[in-house]
Amino acid sequence: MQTVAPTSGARSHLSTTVVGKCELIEAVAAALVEPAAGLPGAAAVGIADRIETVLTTYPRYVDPFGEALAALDPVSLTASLAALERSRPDLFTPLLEVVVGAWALSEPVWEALGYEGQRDLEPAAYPIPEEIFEPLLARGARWRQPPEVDR
Amino acid sequence: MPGDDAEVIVVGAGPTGVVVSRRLAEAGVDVLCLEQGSYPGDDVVVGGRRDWELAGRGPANASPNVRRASADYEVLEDDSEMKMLTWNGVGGGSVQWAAQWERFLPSDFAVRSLDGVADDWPVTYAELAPFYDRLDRAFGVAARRGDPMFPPGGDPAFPALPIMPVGERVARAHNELGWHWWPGPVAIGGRCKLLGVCAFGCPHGQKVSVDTTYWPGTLSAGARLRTGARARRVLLDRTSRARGDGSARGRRSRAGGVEWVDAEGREHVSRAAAVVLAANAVGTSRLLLASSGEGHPDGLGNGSGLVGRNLMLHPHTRVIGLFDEDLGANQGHWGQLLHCLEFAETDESRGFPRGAKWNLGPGSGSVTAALHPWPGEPRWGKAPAEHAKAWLGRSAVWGITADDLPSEANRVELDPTRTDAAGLPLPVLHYKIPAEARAILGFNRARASESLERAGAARVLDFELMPNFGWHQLGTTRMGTDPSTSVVDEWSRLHEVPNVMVADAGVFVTGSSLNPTATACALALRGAERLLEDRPR
Repeated sequence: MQTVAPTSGARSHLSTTVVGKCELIEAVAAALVEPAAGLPGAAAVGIADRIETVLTTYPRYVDPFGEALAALDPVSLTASLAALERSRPDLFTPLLEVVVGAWALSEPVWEALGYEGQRDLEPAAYPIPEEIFEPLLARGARWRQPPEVDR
Repeated sequence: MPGDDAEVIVVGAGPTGVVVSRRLAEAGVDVLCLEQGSYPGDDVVVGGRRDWELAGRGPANASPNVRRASADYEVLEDDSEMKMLTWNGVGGGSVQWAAQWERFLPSDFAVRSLDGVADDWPVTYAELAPFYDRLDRAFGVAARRGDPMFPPGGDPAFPALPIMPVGERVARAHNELGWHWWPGPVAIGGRCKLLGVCAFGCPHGQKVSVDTTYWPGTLSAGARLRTGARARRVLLDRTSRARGDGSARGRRSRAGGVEWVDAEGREHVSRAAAVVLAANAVGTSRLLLASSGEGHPDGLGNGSGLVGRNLMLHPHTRVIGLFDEDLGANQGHWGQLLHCLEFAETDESRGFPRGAKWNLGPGSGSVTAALHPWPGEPRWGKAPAEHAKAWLGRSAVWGITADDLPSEANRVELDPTRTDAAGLPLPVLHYKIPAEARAILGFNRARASESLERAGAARVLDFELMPNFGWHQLGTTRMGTDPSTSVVDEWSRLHEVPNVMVADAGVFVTGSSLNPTATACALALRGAERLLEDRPR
């Protein structure tokens, strides 16, 4: 992980949260996002730098992310994560969002998914077939007419 | 401050506020709109960013309690089974809406007469139809005429947008089931590129977001807009204050202006001949309750005790179909490729009155695909990869909105001690989902599962409730002809202070199950026309 220059309070705070914890962050990420369904796990996408980018862009995550890390036992990480999920969802959910978000935005994952991001499409390429309206229209009008109200 | 008085002051620069401001300005009225927030910035309009979904969980979140931007006020909702979503700033809810532009059904205005529940509105569909028509064109609505669930009419500016391959599958399934569907009417321009990020801000400017699509013309017409201006009280005019009006039911007062606080905390008073409140059903009732004083101790216009009462929040849930093949279902306009109103009308054989509206949306991008909760299943380990693979491009989402009938116990109150930065008490929501609405959701979840299974979904996920989807706030200043059972009259004017008009969906008598913005705007435009008729000549 790159060293973060403390250019602001938030940046400095981010440094405190992540610097020196690279191994723990990578281990946590690897446990939270394992390889499956033909997609790489977090351990295979350079996750630590990507997490730092997410935390830099969204500083609201920094405190709960740091607290979550501090609450985990590196020796029994899976059990520790499960306990955190049960006991401190206010910490576990931001931790999960940061890790999964960083992973799901990575190029290797997009490549494995065949995903190019949201793309511009031309509406003319998707005409609605007129014939599919026929059964619907054959049923006739469906709305209810309220009784006349005397005002 | 010179220049801060006006003939009409509008509070709130969202869709209904701008509709009223535009109409009045075009008629030559001096209009000043006070908006507590500012124009949305690039931390909110994020649809063109790679990480738009992450932004949507933070600064672009639709919950003010999550977002906590400077313009937001905290909503105290521990006692509410639905959590409120809104955006505070120029454009209001339209900044983050999916632009579902729905008319109410004719029956929605007459639920007492037709179904024996709640109350009829003092306005009919036929009376509102010309205003719907005008707004279809003014907003730039894309729709297909001839939906058999509605009377003939409509004046959409653009043809319906594509329903995409996944929508076509579901449409054909509904044809087999004999169920209604129709291309979803949306306030999205004809040059939509089907990016599927509508609620996060359209990079092509095609989704109606009134900060960019309606306010520029409104300012050109002469209206003035002051941002960072938080209304704190509606003030009575001098004559009314001297008489102590409002102390006796039936005695009418007149408003004389609005007290507000700017972004630097400076207090201002703007005088006006009329005041229009368009701050949403929570914000407007909060402001009226906070405007109590001599002669109106329970809040302005609250002789009935109903200001803040009858809050409706449109209970909502989702049923998701996952298809084996990639249907490109992450693309398309986000809100409603289709809508289904098959179960929107009352059918007594179901055991509950009223019904639900369904909107079929595409899935979303890779982040939401990986993070979306699956009922009762793990969220981590192999789950994110499995979810991403199963969801991305292969999912269709039925959103289901229930008609929640009004109950006086569901309400907005003022917190007795906590205030926002401007000193305005925080709103407290008390809201329990009516039993009928829970029954509606349960019935419709089962039907929506049938829909997606018939369309070929390999797996269907359904949720009892999406409690964080309280997009629609309705009913807290209900409309009626009897001042003892309603807050505003049939022209949206406070019974007790008739030069105060409520332009937001607080005036709704019942909720319908359809999206409220078109109806709120139509009522606002109708009320603006009445304001013009009543203007001293």
